[in-house]
Order: sequence, then structure tokens, then C-alpha cells
Amino acid sequence: MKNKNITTLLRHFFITTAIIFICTLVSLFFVELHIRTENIIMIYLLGVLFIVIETKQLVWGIASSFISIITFNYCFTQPLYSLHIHDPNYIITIIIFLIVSIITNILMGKLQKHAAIAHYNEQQTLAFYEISKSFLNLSGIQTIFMHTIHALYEYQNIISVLYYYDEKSKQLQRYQDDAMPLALHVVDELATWCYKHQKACGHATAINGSEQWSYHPLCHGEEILGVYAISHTPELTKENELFIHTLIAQMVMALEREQLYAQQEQSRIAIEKEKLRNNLLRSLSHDLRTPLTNIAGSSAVLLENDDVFDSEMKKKLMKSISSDAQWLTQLVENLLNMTRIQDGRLLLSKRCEVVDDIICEALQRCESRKGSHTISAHLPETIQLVNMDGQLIIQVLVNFIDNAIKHTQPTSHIDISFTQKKGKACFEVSDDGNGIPDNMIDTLFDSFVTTKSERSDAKRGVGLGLSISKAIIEAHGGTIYAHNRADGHGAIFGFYL
Amino acid sequence: MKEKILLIEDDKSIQRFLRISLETKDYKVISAETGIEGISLYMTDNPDLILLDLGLPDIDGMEVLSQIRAQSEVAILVVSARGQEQEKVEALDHGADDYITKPFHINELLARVRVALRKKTSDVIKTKVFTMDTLKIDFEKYKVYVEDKEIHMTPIEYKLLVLLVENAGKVLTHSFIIRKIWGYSTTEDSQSLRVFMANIRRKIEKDSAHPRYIITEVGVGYRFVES
Repeated sequence: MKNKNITTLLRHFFITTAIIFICTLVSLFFVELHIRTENIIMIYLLGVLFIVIETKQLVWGIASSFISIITFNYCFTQPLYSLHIHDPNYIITIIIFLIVSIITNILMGKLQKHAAIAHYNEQQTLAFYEISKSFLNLSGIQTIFMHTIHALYEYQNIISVLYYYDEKSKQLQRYQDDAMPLALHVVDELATWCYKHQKACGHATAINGSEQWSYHPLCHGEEILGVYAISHTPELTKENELFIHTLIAQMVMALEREQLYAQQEQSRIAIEKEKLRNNLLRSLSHDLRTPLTNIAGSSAVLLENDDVFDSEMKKKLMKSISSDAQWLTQLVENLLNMTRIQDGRLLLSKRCEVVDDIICEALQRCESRKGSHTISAHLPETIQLVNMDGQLIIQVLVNFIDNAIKHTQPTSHIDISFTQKKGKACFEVSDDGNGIPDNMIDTLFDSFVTTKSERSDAKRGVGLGLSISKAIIEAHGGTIYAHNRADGHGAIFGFYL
Repeated sequence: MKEKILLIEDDKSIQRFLRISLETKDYKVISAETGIEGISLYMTDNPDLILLDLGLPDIDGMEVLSQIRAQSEVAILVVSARGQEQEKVEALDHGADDYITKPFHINELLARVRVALRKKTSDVIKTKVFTMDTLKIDFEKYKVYVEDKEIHMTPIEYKLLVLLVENAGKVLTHSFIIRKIWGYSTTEDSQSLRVFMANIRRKIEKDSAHPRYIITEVGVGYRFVES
């Protein structure tokens, strides 16, 4: 530091001497050419200007003015080579020279100061521009905070710690750069106090003023988002504080953008959900109406015509009521699973289940609906344990079997099998019906697909079952598939776990 | 003497339909719509069996169960909705004799009622040999036969089978079986139990996809068929 000062001092001294020396040389040359002395003083004025520009210091300018006058007086005024002045005209010239040179000096100094400020401002603006530009590309609260901390340090050597109020955990989340050891001295309690009272505390405030850190609320409009803590070692300047405020404002804007984005995302999901719900309701009302019409109608007919019908007729009606009631039961079962899937992103209660138990239970539940279909099962040779949510996987198998019962002729064979392929458990339900129509094979597991080919009421059944099955298998991290059999007789539905 | 059944169920139409079904089978039925009413009816009328719906308007069905169980060993049959395995296990572990899932078939309910009532009247009849269809168990010689051929069973498998047969018709929860056979109680690890059961089933069932003897109640436990 000291060395540097001395070097600049020496440099300035050298410049001043050199310029005055050159001026004197030129002046001597002009005297030889018989140019008048009034012009010679102008050469010195020029010299002083150069000195001010070079040294950028008023002191040197004024000093050089005086040296110039002495040199001028000594070398060019009568009597030559003495400091006496005979002609009073010269005294006026010298005084005017002094005034002019001092004014020039001052003006020059001001100009230079302005230039320096302009330069500093430009740098600052550029820095802010860089920072605000960099904020644009950030996403995620963590990234935004870390970026702010780094920017504060990089541009102005300011050490900071940020707090953000986390809605989920209901407490302040601390963000700091572990490479800054000073950050360890930040007191969480003071930050919490600051958050609660929405008032600055710490360094140079009414509360814990002796602290080395100050804590400020991080506000967006009326809402408090968190706290920012700033280290006051070394002491901050006005420019530092301005920089901090601007940067924090930029950060708040970035946070606001982040929040807006999150809100947008939420409303998008809500719309999506709404759509699904509407779809579900639409297909449900159709699916519920058909069996309900039958149940209500048949029972009313039975009630009113009790004495007219023979027992054969009554039995027929009652049978259809019973089967439709069972169908409704199955529908409700699927709906329950559906709400489970939608509410909690499907909470699986997984554990190791014996494959035999799962297949048996699925068969048992379909027993009453199978009619004249033949259902057989191929159980694995040895006892196999597979990690799964038993109830849900059973539901998937039931849906597959129901689907096969619904869409094949009454004499068809339905077969359930289990195999282990490459360490993955594979369940398959195959039938020997007409297979899946080509135009449906791709959309089979999408929400609420029905076969439209036949009379629309002839075969009810939303793909509700299949789309739920898909959701269940995907929640297990497995794959669901459906294709027609290679020999062209019937379809295969299956999944890997 | 007619056996008396107390029906605790808040839904009127289910109550009516159960009452009609039970009365046609010659049971005497008294009914309550709330838990409190149910408990007081139990005190005054001393029924032989209680049909208890767990979803009641005033107090939790589980509360009714433990209050009655604290005083007597009367048969209690719990009615619960499917998909709530935890509730069933809890009810069984709190002393319910059996459970039935809504929606149920009336014949199934009547069968459960029969089993529960018989258990209470004559407890376990000690016989030397148990036979059902092709299955024969000789309790004295510790031997199991299927179609008159001796089946090899490990000691634990034999103990499990006997436990199930002794409680035929009744659901035994995983933790109950583990406590009885292994002597410690845990609700966590029933995996080895399930492997044992699957093995037993492979040994005694002809078609293990359509079991004749041992029914698995997924997520709850096992039941040996009543007849």
C-alpha cells in the first residue's frame, strides 16, 4: 500500500518536472525566434493542463502553476535570470495566469470526478444487469438463494445467510454457503425473532446491537417470506448497502416468479383432475344407470305382480336383480380404489405375498359372475413370494377376468398363469374369445374406453377397470400390457412386477 | 329354546333384511340402531350372539366390541366393509369371533352365525380322528392322510393344521396363529407363516387354485372350512 503511494508520488513528480522542462525548452526556442513573451506564458498554461490531465490531482496542478510562474519570471521577464519584475504588465499577466490555471485545475478535477462516478455507475449498472439476467434462468428456491449469496460475495465481498419460511415444515429453512466460515456465527434465534416481529435486529439496531450480523425481514409487499442476515465484518459502505438492497429486491422478484409458477402448476393439475372427474362422472352415470334401471324395474314389477307371475318368472327377475347388484358392487370396488389412487398418489401397503393366495382370492371373487365360462389357473411349481399390495393386485386380476367374462362368448375358457421372467413376476390372463379389436388395442388402458362396435347398451363396462388396473400396476413400478394371441384366438392381458 | 341374536346396525333396510333372513331360520332377533342402545340391550336381554356393524353413528364399533368383551364371552360377529383389512384384524384381535365383509351373501352370513353359535354351545369336541372329504387327521398318532395315503408333514405344519381344524369355520389372524404356534406375538412378519400355509395347502388340497379346506383371507388370516 505504502510502496504504491510512493511510486505514484514519484511518477507524478517526474511527469510534472518533465512537462515543465519541455515547456521551458520550447519557450527558449520561441524566444530565439523572437516570439513575444505573452505567448510563452500560454505554453506554460498548456503544460499545466497536461499535468492535471496526467496526474488527475489538483495539488499537482496548483503546484505546477506556481513552478511555471517562477520559471517564467526567472527565464523570460526583464531582468532576465532574476525573480525581479520591472514591467508591471507582467504582474498582471502572472496574476491572470494564476487565476486561469487554478480555475482550469478545479474544472478539470470536477470533470474527472464526474467521469469516475459515471464509470462506477456504469460498472454497477452492468453488474446489476448481469445479476438480474442471471436470476431469469434460475428455478427452485435453493438455487435462487445460493445464487444471491454467491453474487453478494463475488461483486462486493459481502457475506450473507438467507432464511426462507417453509410452508410444509412450518419453520425457517437456512441457506448458506459452507465455504464461508463466518456464516457459522449466524444465530438462528435472532432470525426467528426477526421473522416473527417483521423487524430488523442485530448489528446497529435496538435489539442485540452488539452482534456482528444484522437480520432483516425479507418482504414481498405485505407478506414476509423469510429473513436475510448480513455480516458487518468488514464494515459496510453506503454503496454496499445499496447493492444489497437492489440484489435482495431482484431475488424477491425471482422468488415471486417461482411462486407464481408453482401456483400455475397447481391450477393446471387441478384442471386436469377436474377433467378426469368429469369424465369419470359421465361414464359412471351411464354405467350406474343401466343396472339400476334393471334393479328398480324388475323389483317394481315383482312387487306389483306378485300373484300374476309363476315362480319360474319370479326367479328369472330376481336373478337379474342379484347379478346387477353384484355388478354394481364390483364397480364400487373399483371406484374406491380409484379414490385411493387419486387422493394419496396411491398409498401401497406392500409386503411379500404368496402368489397362490393372490390367484385363489381373485378366482373366488369372480366365482359368482363366471356363468358358463371355464376359468382355470396355472399355479407356479414352487411357492413364490412377490412383493406387492395384495388387495390391489387381486383387484387387477379380478378386472382382467371380469373383462374376459364380459367380452367373450359364454363358453370361452379363461386361463390365469404366473411365471418368473428375468427376475420379474409376470401374471397373465388369457382367453379364447375374439380378441381385442385392432382399433382399440392402443387406447385400451386409457381412461374409460368401451367397445362401441356392438349395440351401445349391449355390453356395458367402462374401461374404468382397465385404467385403474394400469394405475395400480404403474404405482408398483410395473408394466401392464394387452395383446392378441399369436394363434389369433383370443386376447392376453398381463403385467410385470 | 330359540337362540337370541342382537343386531347392532344403523342402516334400516339392512337391519330389516337381516331380521327377516334370521327369523326365517328360527332365530329370535332384537335390534339396536346405535352403539349405546346396543350395549344396554346386551345387558338387559342377554343374547346368544351379537351381529355388530363397525360403522355406527354414535360410538366406534370397536368401542362397543371391547366394552361387551370386557364383561362376557358372548359370540360377536363383526360386519365391516371390504378394503379395510386392518379394521378386521383389529376387531378379531380385540375378541370378535368372526367377521363378514359388506356386501355379503346372506347364506354366507347364516353359515357364520351357525358356526359362531355352535362354538359357544359345545366348544371343541375332542375326537381321536378328524375326517372331512378325503382329508383325515389322526390326533393320537400325529398323522395326516389324504385319500388314505399318509402325507408327510413337518411338526410346525402339523401344529398349524391342527390349530386350524380345531377352530374350523373361524378366521384366525396372522398374529393369533403366530402367537399360538411360535409363542411370540408380532404383527410385522407373517411371511414365513404364509409360506408354511402355502406348503400345507399344496400337500392336502387336490386343486390348490380352488382350495377345499383352507381359505386364505388376504391381509387378515386363514380359515379352515366348516364342512
